[in-house]
This record gives sequence, C-alpha cells and structure tokens, in this order.
Amino acid sequence: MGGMLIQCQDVWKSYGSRPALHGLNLQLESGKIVGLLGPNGSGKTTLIKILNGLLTADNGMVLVDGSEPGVYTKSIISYLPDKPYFAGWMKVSDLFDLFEDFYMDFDREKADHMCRALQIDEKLRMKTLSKGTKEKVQLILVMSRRAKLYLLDEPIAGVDPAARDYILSTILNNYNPEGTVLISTHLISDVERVLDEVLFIQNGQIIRQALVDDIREKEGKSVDELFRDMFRTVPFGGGEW
Amino acid sequence: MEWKLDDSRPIWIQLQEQLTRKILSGWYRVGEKLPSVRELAAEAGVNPNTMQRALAALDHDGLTVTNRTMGRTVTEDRAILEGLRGTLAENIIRQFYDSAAELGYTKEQAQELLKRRDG
Amino acid sequence: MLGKLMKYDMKSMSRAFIPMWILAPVISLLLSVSIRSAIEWTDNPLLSGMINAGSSILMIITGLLFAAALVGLLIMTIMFVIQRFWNGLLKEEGYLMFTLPVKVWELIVSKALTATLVACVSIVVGVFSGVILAVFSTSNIVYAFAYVWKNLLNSVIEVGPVFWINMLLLILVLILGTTGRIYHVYAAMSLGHLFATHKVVGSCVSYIGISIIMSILNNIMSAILSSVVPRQFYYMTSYGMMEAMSSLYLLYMMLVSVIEIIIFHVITERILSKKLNLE
Repeated sequence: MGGMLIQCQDVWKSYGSRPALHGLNLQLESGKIVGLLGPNGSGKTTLIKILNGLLTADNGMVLVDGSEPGVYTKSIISYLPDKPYFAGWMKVSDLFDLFEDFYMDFDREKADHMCRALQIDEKLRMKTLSKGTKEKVQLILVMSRRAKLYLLDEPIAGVDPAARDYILSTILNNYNPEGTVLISTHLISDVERVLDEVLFIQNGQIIRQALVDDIREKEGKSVDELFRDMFRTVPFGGGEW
Repeated sequence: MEWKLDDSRPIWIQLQEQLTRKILSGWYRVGEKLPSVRELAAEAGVNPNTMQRALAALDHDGLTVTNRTMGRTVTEDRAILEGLRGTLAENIIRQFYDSAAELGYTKEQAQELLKRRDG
Repeated sequence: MLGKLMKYDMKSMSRAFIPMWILAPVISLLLSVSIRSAIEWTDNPLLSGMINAGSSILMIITGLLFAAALVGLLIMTIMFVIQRFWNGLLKEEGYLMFTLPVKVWELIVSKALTATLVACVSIVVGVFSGVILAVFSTSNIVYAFAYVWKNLLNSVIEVGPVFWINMLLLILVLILGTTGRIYHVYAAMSLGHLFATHKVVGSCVSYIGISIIMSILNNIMSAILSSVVPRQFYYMTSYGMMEAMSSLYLLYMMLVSVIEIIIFHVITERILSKKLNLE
C-alpha cells in the first residue's frame, strides 16, 4: 500500500440517476506523467474532481498521498480546470498574490518569469484578457507550483498546434520530477510522446493501465491507434434492424 | 537536428537510435558532455523518464559514460565507436539488399547496380 | 488562513461598495441643499415662479436620486450576500476556492463575516444619509434633536449605566441578527445545491421552508415563555425593572440569533464538506 500517490478503491459516483464512476479502481505511483484517456463522458473529469475535492464520491475509498481529499491533499495538488475559474475583476498579479498566500510551493519568481516570456502584463484584469491568454495565465499558475500531483483536465483541448506545443513543453519543463502529472485528454496523438503511462477509462472504470512503450512493443502500434481500436463504434446505420 | 518519432515502435528505442546516430556522426564529439536528461527530453518533446531509458541504453552500449562529476559524456574509447559504426553500416547494407530483393534483384545484381551508379 | 481568505473577500467587496457608501451621503447632502433652497426661495417674494418651478424640479430629481441610492444600496447588499456565496463558492469561482488548502468552515465564515460587515456598514450609511437629509434640509430639526437628546441624557444620568449596556446589547442583537439572516440565505443555497437540477428553485424553496420552520419555532418559544414568565412581570412600572426586562429580552434575542447562526453554519458546512458537487 505504501508509496502510492493515488489509491482509488471501488469508487462510485452518479449525478442524480446518471452514473459517472462505476466502482473505479486505480493505483498510481509518484514521478510519472500519466495520460487519462477516454471518450467524452467516460468519467475523466469526474475522477479528477473527486481527487481534488470538488466532488465527493458516493462510495469507495479515495486516498491522495495517503490522505482523504482535504486540506493536506489540496496543498499538494495543482489543478488545471477544464474552464477558467477566475473572477473577472482580479488582476494577473492578484492571482499570483493569492497563490503565493495559500500555496507554500508556489514559485512567484517562476510565474513572473513565465509572464514576461509570454509578454503578459500582470497589471491587466482577467476580464480584459483573451481566452487564449487566460488559459496561459492558468497554466502559469498551475505549473509554477512544485506540487506532488498535477491534475490537468484537457489542457490542450481547443487550442492551435503552436499553443499545444507551448503547453506541452511548459508542462515538461516545469513539473516537479518527484511528482506525478495526470493529464486527461481525448487528443492522444498530441500527448502520447510525453507520457510514461496511460489509463484507459470507459463507463466510469479504468479498463487498462499500461506503459506507453509497453503498448508499442506488444501491440506494434501507437497508443492513439490502440485507443481508436478499443473505442471504435459501429457507425449508425450499420446495425441490424 | 530534428527528432523524428514514428508511431509504431517504442519511443525510447527511437530515441536511442537517433542519439547513437548523433554520436557516431560526430554531432556530439568524442569526450563531449551530453545535455542533461531534462534538457534532451524537452528538446525532443518527450517524457524525461523515456529519455532516461534511452540514455541508459547508450551507457549500456558503452557509447556514453556516466561519471559523477562530469555527468554523461561521449566515450573516448574509439574501438567502441568504430565497432558500433561498423554495426550501423552493416545494418544499412543489409536493409539495402533486403529492399533490392523485394524488387526482385539477386545479391549480385544489386551489387552490380551499386557499382554502375558509382562508376 | 481565515484572515487571508477575508482579505480577498474584502477586496472583491470594497470595489463595489466603497463608491456606493460615499455616493449615498453625498446625494442626500445634495437633496437637503435643494430642499432648503426650494423652501427659502418660496419664502422670497422677489423671485419669480419660474425659479420656484426650477428648484422644485431639482428637488424632485435629487429626491429620486436619493431614493434610488438607498434602494440601490439595499439591493446591492442583498445581491452581494447571495452572489458572493452562490458564484464565489458554488459556481466556477468555487473551483478556485475549494481547491485552496483551507477548511470548508473557513470559506463559509470568511464569506459570512464579510457579508455581515457589508450589511452593517450599508445600514449605517443609510441611516447616516437620512440624518444628513434631516439635519441639512431644515435648520429646525437640529434643535428638535438637541432637545430630545438632552432629555434623553438627563434620564440616563438618572438611571445609570444599564441604559448603555442595553444599547450595546441592542447593537449586538442587530449585528447578530444580520449575521443570522445572512446564514439563513447560505443554508438555503446549500440545501438548494443538493438538488440535482433546478438548484435555484431548490434554494428558494429551502429559504421559504426554513422561514416557516423558524416562525413555528418562534411561536412555540413565545408560548412557552409567556406561560413561564410570571404575569406580574408585565405590569412592572419601575424604570429599573423595565430596564432589567429589556436586558433579559435582548440577551434572549442574542441567544436565539447565536443558536440560529450555529445551526445554519453546521448545515452549510456539512453540505459543502460532504456533498459538494461542482459539476
């Protein structure tokens, strides 16, 4: 049991009558970059929000670095949400102040440096920034922490290839190598080469957990191709009626 | 130099091959210090653990030497470099004959083609 | 951590409210000046009716502005209480707040204290604006106030410090009562958050439900108290006895508010720690 960063055992969650997690089990070690791969609605965001405490599981055990989601786990998790969450009146520098105040592992100098490199003016208010710039600020906040667990929910969804490269290299250059990065995505081919390990999630369960190079070695194909094969659906109209 | 990674084979093996080529071609000189794992990983856009695995394979081949004070340097043992260069050349030649055979040339015909092209 | 949280809640609050708190007394000052000039000009036979009409219009406009400022202040305060909790904790901004390494009770208390402060200052500003209006629009009222105050002070000097203790208790009751109302709204929104869909409707229904329960409990308590308290207490004529009764009643009110706050806080805290669902 010891040494595992994430331990989930028989975790259930539903939204009203709509099931999201279906007895999910998961064990994840430190020091890895892991892809959480699954089609839309498979439970990726739900799992991430249960790990960071934004959702509470209906049933089952969830431990992050040996603790249930709470003040301690929040202090070691750096979370990139799937949509920006800032109050519009806050300046970029206000957000940096806030992170500096609450997170011991926030590196203000690093954040300032990244802002300068991207020519983002820290005096601007969030509501005046473009969508792309907001996302960059969010990424800077998240990657300027020396966290034990980074939870990145769809960091590259809906961005152009240049931004995607920037995001991935920012993650690679700035994450804490002793920590683990969990990246949820459905754009596998884009992130495949930065991953050590992948988790396939479907209908609220982890259906496969493997090393990227093991998959390539054993299956002779990329994770992306494997994913397409696994989740291939019969086009509508091809069924028997 | 560009890093080219295809989809079907393990990434670390492809990294190892490309690093080997970089060393044998003199991109990294004899005795030269290699960049850190993290720098190389960032350059190739890959996971540092994967790059580490490729570099460990280079160490294993004797192409690089890891030393506590200096870090990882290209070996100064020319015999190893020559040996690996030979193996690599061997592979390229074998690939040539295999491809020629697929087109229906015998080994002799393939050799003849080579000579005619160079002459 | 509570202090740091409050720093941010205060910051978001001050941006909207400080201008309003300055504006309301300024408008009431303008209104009182226009009323006064209207009165004085009416008295002056040398001035034509046109100026009279003009000053009346001015008075109406500033009067409307004053009413708008007070109503605006009230609405803003209510909106602030609701929005800072609903948007700040239960919507997107909640992503940020609930991933900070702080306890859930700290998040709630920070919001409640900030909201109490805003509400109390808004009330004070509203009363202050009214006083300004009264004092500056007519000169006579100042004398009237002075007269009442003097008599009041005379009677206070007669009966001693209990009056001041009661005043203090009254202020505490008002503040705690305000906090209680704010927590009432918080508890209702938290209960509404439990609904899978129609969370806003759920919150409103919860608010009404809590109100009904509270009024029932209140009636029961009054019935009990009136049967427990000896009848002759109501016919006490001595001033000292009246003061003592007031103190007791204020203490009772305080106790009720504190219990109310505790119950609402526990409901809110339990729901947000155990049943948080930021979809």
